[in-house]
Amino acid sequence: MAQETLFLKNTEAFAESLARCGVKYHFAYPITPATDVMKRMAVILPAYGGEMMQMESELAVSSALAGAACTGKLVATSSSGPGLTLMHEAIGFMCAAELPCLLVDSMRVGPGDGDILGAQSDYYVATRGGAHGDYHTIVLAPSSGQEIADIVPTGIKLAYTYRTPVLFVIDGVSAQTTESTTLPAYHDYSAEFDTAGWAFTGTQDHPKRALITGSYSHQDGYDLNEKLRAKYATIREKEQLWEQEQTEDAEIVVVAFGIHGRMCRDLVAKMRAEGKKVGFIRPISLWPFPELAFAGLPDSVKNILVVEMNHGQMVDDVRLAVNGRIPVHFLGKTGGDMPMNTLAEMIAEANRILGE
Amino acid sequence: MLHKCMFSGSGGQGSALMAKMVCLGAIKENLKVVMTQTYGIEQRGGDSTAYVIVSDEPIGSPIVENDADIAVALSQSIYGNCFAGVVPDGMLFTNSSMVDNPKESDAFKQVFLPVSDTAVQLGTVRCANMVMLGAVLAGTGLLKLETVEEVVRETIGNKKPQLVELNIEALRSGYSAMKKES
Repeated sequence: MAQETLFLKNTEAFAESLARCGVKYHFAYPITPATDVMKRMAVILPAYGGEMMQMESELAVSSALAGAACTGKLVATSSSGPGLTLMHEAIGFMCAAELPCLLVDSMRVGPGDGDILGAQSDYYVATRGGAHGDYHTIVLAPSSGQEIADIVPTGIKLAYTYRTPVLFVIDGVSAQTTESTTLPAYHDYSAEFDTAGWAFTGTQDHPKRALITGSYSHQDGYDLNEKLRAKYATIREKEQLWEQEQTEDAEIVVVAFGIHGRMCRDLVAKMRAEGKKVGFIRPISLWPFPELAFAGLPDSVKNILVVEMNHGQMVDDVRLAVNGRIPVHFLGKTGGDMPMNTLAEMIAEANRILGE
Repeated sequence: MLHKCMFSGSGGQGSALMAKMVCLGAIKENLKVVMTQTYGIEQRGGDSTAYVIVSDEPIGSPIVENDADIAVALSQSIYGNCFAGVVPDGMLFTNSSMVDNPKESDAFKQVFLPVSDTAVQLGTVRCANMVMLGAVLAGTGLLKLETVEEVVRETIGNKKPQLVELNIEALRSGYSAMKKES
């Protein structure tokens, strides 16, 4: 496929980007607002020599993902919060077995089955993890169709460089938004990585190998955890991603990811036009959290306002990043006909804090 | 250039299709475009609104928050919402075939066109949305008429080629009705 600009739902932009960047096998189970990813994958993947397989449950999806990932092929899934919750046993396993794969979470209102309306309710489960043990999943949060197309190659490179699952999260409102997106020409990014040293491809040319066993002797368990610790430290040091604007002289910095992060561009333009000294930080990697962006904030910053489509999850990481140096405020909403704060409400809250 | 639009009507009237035509036309004119829709458990006859932002620069907030400068009300039940959603100096296009007792506004301009009646005269009430879209293009200069005609030929022509001429006629009749009005 050649590069082309299409008018797509952002769920479909995910499907197109995954297929064009080398995903060969997509396993999924339908759930609003993520079903359009698997639907489009079913249609387009055969043209790339791949296949979408609908499994009988999310448990089956995640097990198939882990199994297929053992072969070194680029595999993916797409779901929403309730489905992601069910997949965590396998996600923890893949982190321990060091298996690369891609996951898309189109987030909806929780907890429980919640509501089909969009939310950012999965920040905790994405960045903290819902499985046991000292593991992390790399989490990337694009905020528009174009950023989806641009960030999928990054996600694949991270998954194979560090041999770890990479999770893309997007709120359901953005997922259902339709916009013009320039999609890349086909290129299999996973083919740039040599998997011969670990992938299960039959034993013709090498002796039997085991990626992981069910249990460890004491020293093996210690060694595995130390290896993972070193890997996560490297990722934390080298792979933080964020967008930052007009913070050099800001008195207040608004921090938001995904759709609220995108809205910050308008917020800053409107408030700067009124002479207000405001800037924004939009975390793009949620894990590793972009602590470096906060370390670099000037002394002029007297307040930080975090805005989320939940009741306050990322705000914890912002507080850890500034470590008491700057007061951190929170504005958030989840559920309802308009399941998020409007731009007008964000501006009003920033003005209220500036006036204190 | 930045336009925020809301296209509203009853489910089945084709307000979302109007929005989609605008989006595809905007892409043809090398503009950026974002569309969001009311989302939930909708059914035919329920209110339906599609929001479109068209800009020559990358679009920040994708949400239209009662700040549309171009609004369309195809049915009575959605008229009040549309009326409340228009900014000063904006334009509200109303289907006068279906909206009785409209409100008065000093802040923004209102245009009343009997697009359902016009559509019936053209052959079917189902092309009322295209009559209205022609009027919007004439009244606002949002996109070129020829661009949207091209979109109609490509999208409708793919699935139902026999309906292309009817829809183009509907677009043109709305366009010229609005030109007469202004």
